Amino acid sequence: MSPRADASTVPGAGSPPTLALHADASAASVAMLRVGVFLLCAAEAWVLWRQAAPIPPDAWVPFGLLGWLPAAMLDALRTTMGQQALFVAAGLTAVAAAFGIAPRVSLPVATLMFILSQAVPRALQGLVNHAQVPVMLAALVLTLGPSADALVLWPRRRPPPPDGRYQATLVYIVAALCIGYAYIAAHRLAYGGLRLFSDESLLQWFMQRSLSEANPEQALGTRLIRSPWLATAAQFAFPAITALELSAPLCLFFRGYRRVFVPAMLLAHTAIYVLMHISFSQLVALYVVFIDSAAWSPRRATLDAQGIPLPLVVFFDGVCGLCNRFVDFLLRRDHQHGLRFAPLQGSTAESLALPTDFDTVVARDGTRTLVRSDAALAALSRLGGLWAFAAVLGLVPRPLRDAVYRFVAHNRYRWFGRHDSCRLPEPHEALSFLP
Amino acid sequence: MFQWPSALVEGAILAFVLGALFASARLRTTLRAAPRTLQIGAVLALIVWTSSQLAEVPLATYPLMSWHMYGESRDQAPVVGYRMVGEACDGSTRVLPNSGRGLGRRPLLASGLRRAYNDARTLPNQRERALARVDSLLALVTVTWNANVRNVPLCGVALQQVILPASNLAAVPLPPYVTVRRHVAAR
Repeated sequence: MSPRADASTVPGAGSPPTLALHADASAASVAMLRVGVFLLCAAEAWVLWRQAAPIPPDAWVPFGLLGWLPAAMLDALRTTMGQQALFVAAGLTAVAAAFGIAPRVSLPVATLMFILSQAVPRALQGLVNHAQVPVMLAALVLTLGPSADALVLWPRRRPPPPDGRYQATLVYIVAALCIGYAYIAAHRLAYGGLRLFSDESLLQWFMQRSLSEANPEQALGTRLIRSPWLATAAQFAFPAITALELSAPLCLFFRGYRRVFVPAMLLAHTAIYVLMHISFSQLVALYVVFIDSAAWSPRRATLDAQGIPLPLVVFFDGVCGLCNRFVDFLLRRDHQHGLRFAPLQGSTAESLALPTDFDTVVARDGTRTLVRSDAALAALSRLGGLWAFAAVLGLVPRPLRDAVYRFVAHNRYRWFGRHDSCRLPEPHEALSFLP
Repeated sequence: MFQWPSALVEGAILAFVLGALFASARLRTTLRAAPRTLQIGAVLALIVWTSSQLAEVPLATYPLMSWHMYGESRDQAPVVGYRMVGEACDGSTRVLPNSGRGLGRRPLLASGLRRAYNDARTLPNQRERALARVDSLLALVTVTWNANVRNVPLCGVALQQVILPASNLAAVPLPPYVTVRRHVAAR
């Protein structure tokens, strides 16, 4: 497979080329990730709150930021109440950061609280695992980059930053993830070398974890080791995964490489969970940044020659009851007037030579034409606010989404009725309708 | 374990990866679009992160720490496994799961216990301190279990160890577990 490079150019003569990954990222894209990351932090705080228990003084090894805290505060953190207070504070600030409440305060405080609260149970272990670290890095990037310009409980007074900054914020997070993987592989190659891949170290680690299970004879790790074929497959997979990890930064440039890397690493993390009971669920949740944000968030609106955002034109079957209800639904919520509507049977649709298939809604964004579920999701997410989250459904594979769409479209007249003639706009709607 | 030749090789690999990454004008252009605070923060973080990776200070700079997991050959060292066995007050015993409701869903507790005992076994100069930590963690296991599973109170917890030669990983049956440390709760 030859990976296709993600390259595009910034409009304007002589502009340097920029990355295509997240090139269409909008304020809503970064804000949606902010909501996801900090709700994940809040969920972690909730889990930790339920685990709070008194910790004997010599049972833990404070490290990182914990090590900088004064002794009195550390003593308080060893009590159940002290831990619960920390986890409640971490949870509340994370929710505030997710919804953009006082973002200049809540974002850094929530990030610090998350780091501190994650360190408390790990101080028991005297060691950290890395599953939560990428989420911490993402929270740090979202704190330092522009991330609170959309999906906030009240609008910000400051003007939004230039569009390119939203792409940069997401690319920093992808870069942090990729560099982390490359560092793992670099250490493995430098210290383990070829011997690590040729001896049975991997199988020994599997066995070590299996021996700690309640029933080690039945543990999956033990079964794998006792199966010559599976053991050999695992031995071959180890260097392959290491090679993928070392070359993870290619994900920033090549869409084809991301298509190999993401499923392979998902498989690897699943195998690690099944065989070793080490969960990377938080890291895996963050994999959404490897998917271009155009697939899971509202794109930036296309601009005209004067730099003014073009409206999204929604073409619909003018005689269909369901389509008319959908248009009414959008009209009522389109407070920013980012949408225009036109019947598929009308002259505007005819002049653009749109598909003549009336079984689909069509959305025209500048020169791009979207059909079926893509069009419906684009229209919904263009409404802004929490409707932006409709775009997340774009992560569902298109054939699956379109199959549901086709099924409903096929039955729309039977279920929702059919009008004899196309819908005519009310006088106050006239500006939103095209012929 | 830090070794100069390996650290140099690691440094060279990291320099190659980071050099190739930031040689891309496309990437640099994109990253420069970020606010100055983020750019400065990212450079500082990368310096701390890389230093931690090369110089083995994994915990002090958390979360900007080393990524050394599963990176060194075990060299045919015996595989040592641990499990916790709860001793109920009625005299019965049961193998405790590594996490779950009984332990307040704390997988790190079991992991910390294994690590502490391993330190006691392999680091002679830290043996007493590590064993005190093992005892504290076993006491914590008892307290946590009794707080969460009130109908089967534990009066003690034993840490059991099994050693499997690396040359015979697929041994059937597994060697027997041996109790290496035991905590009896005060009644």
